[in-house]
Amino acid sequence: HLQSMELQHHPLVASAGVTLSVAVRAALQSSLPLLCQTQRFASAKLLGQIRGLSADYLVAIGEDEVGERRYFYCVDGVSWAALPTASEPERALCSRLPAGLLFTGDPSHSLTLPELEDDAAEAEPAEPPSVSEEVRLAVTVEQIENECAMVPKGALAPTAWGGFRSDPSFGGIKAEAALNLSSYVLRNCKAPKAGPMAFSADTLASADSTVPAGALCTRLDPATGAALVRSLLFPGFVAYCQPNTPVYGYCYFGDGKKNVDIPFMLP
Amino acid sequence: MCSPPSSLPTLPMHSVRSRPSLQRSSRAPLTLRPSRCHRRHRPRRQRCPTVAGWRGTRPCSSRAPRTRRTDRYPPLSSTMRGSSTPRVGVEMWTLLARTERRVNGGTSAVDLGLAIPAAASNPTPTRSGASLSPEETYRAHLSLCALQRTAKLQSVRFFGKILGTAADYYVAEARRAEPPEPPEASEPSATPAEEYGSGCNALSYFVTPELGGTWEELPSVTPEAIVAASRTRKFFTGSLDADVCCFPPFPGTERHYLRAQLARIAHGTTLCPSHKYALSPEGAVEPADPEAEGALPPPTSSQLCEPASWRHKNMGILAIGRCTNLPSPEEAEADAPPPQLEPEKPALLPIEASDWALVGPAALGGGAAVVWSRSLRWPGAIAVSEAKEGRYANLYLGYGHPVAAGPMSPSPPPPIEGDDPTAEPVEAEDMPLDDENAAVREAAEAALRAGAEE
Repeated sequence: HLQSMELQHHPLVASAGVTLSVAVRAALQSSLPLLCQTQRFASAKLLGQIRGLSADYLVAIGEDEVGERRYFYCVDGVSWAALPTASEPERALCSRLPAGLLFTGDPSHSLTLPELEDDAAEAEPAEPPSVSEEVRLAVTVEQIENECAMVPKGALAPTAWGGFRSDPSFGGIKAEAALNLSSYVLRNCKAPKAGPMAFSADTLASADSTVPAGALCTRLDPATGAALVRSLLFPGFVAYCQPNTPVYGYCYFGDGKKNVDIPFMLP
Repeated sequence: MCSPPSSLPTLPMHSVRSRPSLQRSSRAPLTLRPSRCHRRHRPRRQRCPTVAGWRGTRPCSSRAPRTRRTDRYPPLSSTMRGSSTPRVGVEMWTLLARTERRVNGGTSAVDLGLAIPAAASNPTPTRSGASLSPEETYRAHLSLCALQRTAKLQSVRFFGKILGTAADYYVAEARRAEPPEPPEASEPSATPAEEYGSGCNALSYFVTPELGGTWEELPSVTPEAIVAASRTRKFFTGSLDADVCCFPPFPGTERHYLRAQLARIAHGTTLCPSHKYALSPEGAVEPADPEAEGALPPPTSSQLCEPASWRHKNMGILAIGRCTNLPSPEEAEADAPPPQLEPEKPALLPIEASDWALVGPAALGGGAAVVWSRSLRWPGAIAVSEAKEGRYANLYLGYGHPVAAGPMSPSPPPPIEGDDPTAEPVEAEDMPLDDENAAVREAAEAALRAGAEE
């Protein structure tokens, strides 16, 4: 029931510059079902790839029948390791990191942050806070999922336990609607007006509420016929859907950095 | 036997030759008569009088030897030019095809460099290749062939794809046989642009938003456009006539901005292996002679993972927006110190290790070894080299911006112009009262005279 990218949809996003080498695809074809089997997931799909200096991280999401999602990462496409869940202090630490820092490619690498200069004289010199690359990766993946992950409207149906799953009766959206941002909803964002008793998928935030306006650009790929939605806020994020078919998904292939200069860069 | 005289009727004569089984009619061609054996072309066995046993009656001995199926239908890989190891499918490797074509009597190399995804014969490279999909690559190839034919270019290379908000640009880098017509004389700028064929304008760039559409040539780049482009950071919209709204104002439309960014990308990220080219005495980049002294040997794939095996193919761009410094004016005063010129960055400089991430083939070995080099300063710029056959390719797939050192802070507007602090306001003196009265009296008399005449 996951909505991130399936491997066979890979040609749909290739025009956005997203490519997976054949070797990686072959490895994923066997390792993702194996991950499903060992972890008792209902489905495991690829979220994408976060690029680093010496190695790239492939990130996959596994979801079980209840709807709980767990994130995994690996470097070679074969052996997956679980991503830790980020806590609030760790998220705060990661937001203090300098903006241009790339991932190194070594999951055990740890970054030391400069101390804050308050009460430095009074308090004992504690250890400077450090954040490991694994935690940083977890925070980045969470940020991408919460801010970018989008699906066509009507593709999700609410479940009895409050979450959402893909609607099996979703037939696809029309081609003209696929180019309109209001036909997409952000999968992990609740709309601000949703009350506590709303059950339908209309409680999810619409994609045209992203700030700044113009951060998402839609394109109809003339070759495959798929509608692509690219995010300029997270360059490398692509959501795709094939009009009039239940084929849709999203993926992220990039550095993991948020484009903070976007207000100046938009035309 | 002598034949009887022709006058007498001839009677059939029985001889060995006239035996019906060995007779042949003069009209029918000489063929081996099929035997009556149930096997079609296998003659009957005959007892050999000399050798004990059956006469040599190998089936099909009179026909051509039977060929194997693999010889009649050779595998596709062996027909591909330049391939020595068997490949799994054409889509895995895009070809750095060099097709020599005869154009107007002379040979011209049509260099169609396309993206190279990870080789299938290279076992499990861990990094994903950067390329377009196989269909898009093929369409780009056809489009470049059409461009070369219509524009009569000497050589064409697929530069890459610049992503935009409304539409993307496919970019082709071309070398013209003849320089294009110079543009109309515009206002002379402080720094004159380089001539076509040298420096930043050495190559021309063609862009198209659709591969099936027409390619449009971008104008030559000016130094002020390059300097302005290095100060701004805007997404491309996909239409060449769009305005670039930024401060300080960009001198030109999106086509000039695009051309400036392409010049910066090409001169900053086009790499080649060290042994491929050498500088001629005049300073031009030429294919290196392997037997010349000081020539580097072709590197192995492990050596290609070192930054020392790569070189920048083009000259670097200076801060003034040109590749070469302006010639110093001849009428320089003797007292004035020589102007501080930035040292030029010639071609074939080694690369900075901190600007590039080099990834080699996986440790499993075997097959063609492909080494990737990914730019950290211009995300999306990729150089690929194969050690075994010495091929290399460059590609750009990105938004067209370099990595910023920090969050962008645009330059503030200039300060508001104030009054000139040196000049003091001078009060104008009024006209003396008598003069003013005389002027009023004269005006009244003139009006009275004019009224009396009517």
